[in-house]
This record gives sequence, structure tokens and C-alpha cells, in this order.
Amino acid sequence: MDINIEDILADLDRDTTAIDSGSAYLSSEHDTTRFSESNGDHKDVDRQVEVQKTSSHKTISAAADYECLVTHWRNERVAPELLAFPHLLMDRILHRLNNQIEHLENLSMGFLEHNFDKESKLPLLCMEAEVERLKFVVRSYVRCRLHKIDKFSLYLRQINQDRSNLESLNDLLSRQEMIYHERHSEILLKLFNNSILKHMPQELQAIDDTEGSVNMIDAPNWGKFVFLFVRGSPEGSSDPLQETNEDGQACYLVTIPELNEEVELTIGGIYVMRYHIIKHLLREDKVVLI
Amino acid sequence: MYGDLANKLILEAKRTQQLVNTNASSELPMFQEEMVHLILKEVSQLQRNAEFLKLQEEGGKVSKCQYFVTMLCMERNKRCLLAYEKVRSEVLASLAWEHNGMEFFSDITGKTQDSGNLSHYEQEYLKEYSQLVSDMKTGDLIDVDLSGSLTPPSDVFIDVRVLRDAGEIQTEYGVFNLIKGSQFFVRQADVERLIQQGYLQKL
Repeated sequence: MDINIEDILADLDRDTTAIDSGSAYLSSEHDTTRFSESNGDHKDVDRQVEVQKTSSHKTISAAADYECLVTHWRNERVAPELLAFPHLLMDRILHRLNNQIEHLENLSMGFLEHNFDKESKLPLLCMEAEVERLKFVVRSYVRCRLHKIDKFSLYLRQINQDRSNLESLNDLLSRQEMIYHERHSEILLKLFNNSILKHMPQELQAIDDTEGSVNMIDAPNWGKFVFLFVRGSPEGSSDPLQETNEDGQACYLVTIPELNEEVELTIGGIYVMRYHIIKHLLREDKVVLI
Repeated sequence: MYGDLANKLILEAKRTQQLVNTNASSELPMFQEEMVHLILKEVSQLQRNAEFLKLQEEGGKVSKCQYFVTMLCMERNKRCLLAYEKVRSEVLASLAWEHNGMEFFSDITGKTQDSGNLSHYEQEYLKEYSQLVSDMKTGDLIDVDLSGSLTPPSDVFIDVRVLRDAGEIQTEYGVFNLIKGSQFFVRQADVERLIQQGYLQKL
């Protein structure tokens, strides 16, 4: 007689690891990010964030944030449209980065004052390399977004003016990107106006003419093919979109409207697919672009 | 035909694009002042035609068609002009990201010796855009040097050779005496800017 006691064992495991993981979480936070005086209030912020995120059951740690950032970065670089800006995540990451740089400076000062022989340079070196890497990812991410903002500036403006639209520009862009968007379109428009449009007849002076033979507003190429990896929901939680196919594998069903054909995206598979078909899955983090 | 001049301008824009793509030291070719001027003249001529056509409305179908074609010609000219200007402005923007924002930010004109090649408005645009870029860097993202290298960092320390005499250069982390031909073993983050400026060569 086989009795499956895995759930009981898991329960026991959770009991013992509850303290462990908690303290590990705290200590790792101290190790990697070194909150100095702002320790208390930042924790509060973290808690609030955690409360907001309880629906998705995500624990907030530096490592998880980094994973999340890399996913955002990868998606942004592949997706044809501008994706929503992760405000909370970026706030946390920039805060940590700032703290870590300060901490590094303090440490290297300490090295100058009293040179211990036994203290090796290795941890310092690793931290520096790590900071450089994180900085690179953030830089690349932001630059990629700025490039897209330049490309779609008229389209974004149209979104902003369109009252019926669900997303406001505030969610899509960070505060600084808003400023960039506004100022850049302003000076670009000034250039065009001064050098060309001023000399044009009245009815041709618009920069965002949609009536003419060619639409002047560049919309993202929704039909672009992208590579995607189907990740599925994080744990075995119930997922309304998820279904089971004949082989018993979990999958998502999407429909290609042009062909009127249904496709199964099995979890763990890699597909090439038009972007607009998998847009809603990307929003909900079920797939990642590669 | 009416669109021919504009077509020439687009060919010029295409050449500009290829020139910039092939060699990284982007030197923008001369702004085609007279060609743009000629096209604008053509447009105003077309406009006069259109106004004339508008006045004799009793022409019926024929004049309607003439008016429509005239409008299309103007639209085409506008499209070509804007495309040309847009290509140039994009090159300028990438210039502002790559080369400026370094230590010698203020003297754009000294660095890009093709500033004579730019039209007056383009110079203005370049200046304003560089200002915008530097403003972006001092915002929330001050720790992340936005105009920094976009190739991922692989090593902490690298060997560099000095290509051009630069005398003593102060970086944020210390003083180097850059004598031509000498080699250093330094942290990559320190010398990234100097490599971008062309003083050092990575080994």
C-alpha cells in the first residue's frame, strides 16, 4: 500500500525553513545592499510593495529583482512596441545601486586607512564588477526605451490625446522619459518647422497628417515575428488561461486571426509567433521574449 | 517632372545613411542648401498653380483632377524633404549620444569639424539635443552613466595603450600621465571615457 505523504513532508519542510528563509532573506539584504541609515524606511517601502504584490505571491529580494529586470530588458529589446515602465522595480533597483556604490566607496576608503594583510581584494573586485554589470543592464534598458520613444513619438502623442485609450502615458513612461519625450519632440518639431514646414502651403504644414496618401504617424509593427519562450505561471497555481492538451501537457491556446487557426503553446516550448497574437500573454508574464 | 529634384535629395539621404553606417566616425555630409531651396521653390510654384485652379471652379472634372495631382506633387515633395531632414537629425542625435557628454562637452563645434556642414537650424538642434542628453544623465539615473559604453563589461582590469599624447589627465579615480606609447593596466570603468575619446586603445 502506497501512501503519498509528500504534502505532509512539504508541510514539515515549510515549518523548519520558515525561519531559515526569513533570516536568509534578511541577512542577504544586509549583505548585498547595506542599508545604512535608511534601513528602516526602505523596509517599509518594501513591505508596502509586498502588500501590493501579494496577488502575484512574489517575494522581494535583490536577486529576484535582478531577474525581473533582465526579463524586462530582454522583452523591451525584442518587442516592437514600447512596453510599460516598471516603476516600483526601477525605484528599488536604483536605490540599491546607489547604496551599493556608497558602500563600495566606504569599503575602499577603509582599505586605504588600515591595510590588513589577511583581507583579500577579491570581494571588493567582485562587487565592483557586479555594480558595473548592473549599471550596464540598466543603461542598455533605458537607452533602448529612449530609442523607441524617439521612433514612436508621434504615436505616443496620439495615445496621450486619445481619451478613450485605456493606458495613460504615465504608466507607459517614467517621469524622466516623459520629460525627454516632450522636449525632444519639441526641438525636433522646431527643426522641421524652421527648415521645411514653414515654407509649405497651409494645408501641408502638419507633421502628424493622417489624411494624406501616406500616414505620417508610425505605429509599432504589431505583426512583427518574435521568438518566445513559454514560461507558464510561476507555481502550480490555477491559471484560467491555461489548458491541457491531449498529451496531458499544460498549454495556452491562442488564435491567429489571419489564418483563423488555433495554436497550442505548450509550457517550456519555444515558438516564433506574430507579436500581436501573444501580446496579452506577455502582459501577464506567461511568456518571455528571447 | 515635379518630383525629380526631391528624388535626387532622397538619393543624397540614402548616401548619407550608408556613409554613416560604414564608418563609425560619422561625418555628416554638407547640407544640400540649394537643392532644398529649389524644391521649396517648386512647391511654391505648385501652390500658385493650385490657387489658380481653385479660382476657376467651373472647370469641372478636369480642373479637379489637375488640382488633385498638384496637391499630390506637393505632398511628395514634403515627404522627401522631411525624410532627408529626419535622416540628418538622427545622425546628429547619435552624435550627441556618442561623443558629447564627455569632458569636452562644451566645445561641440571644436570637436565635430563638420559643423560648417550643418545648416543653421541643425546646429541649434544639435546644441539643444546635447543639452537634453546631459539633463537626462543628471536626473534619477545619475549613478548609471547613460552615455557610457553599450558593450557589456567583461573584465574589471584591462591593458590599454596610449595612442595620443594627452598629458596628465584627471579621472574621477586618480591621475594618469598619458605619454604616447606607454601602457597601463587599469580598471576598465576608469578609462572607458578615454577609450571613447580615442586617447587609449584597448588591448
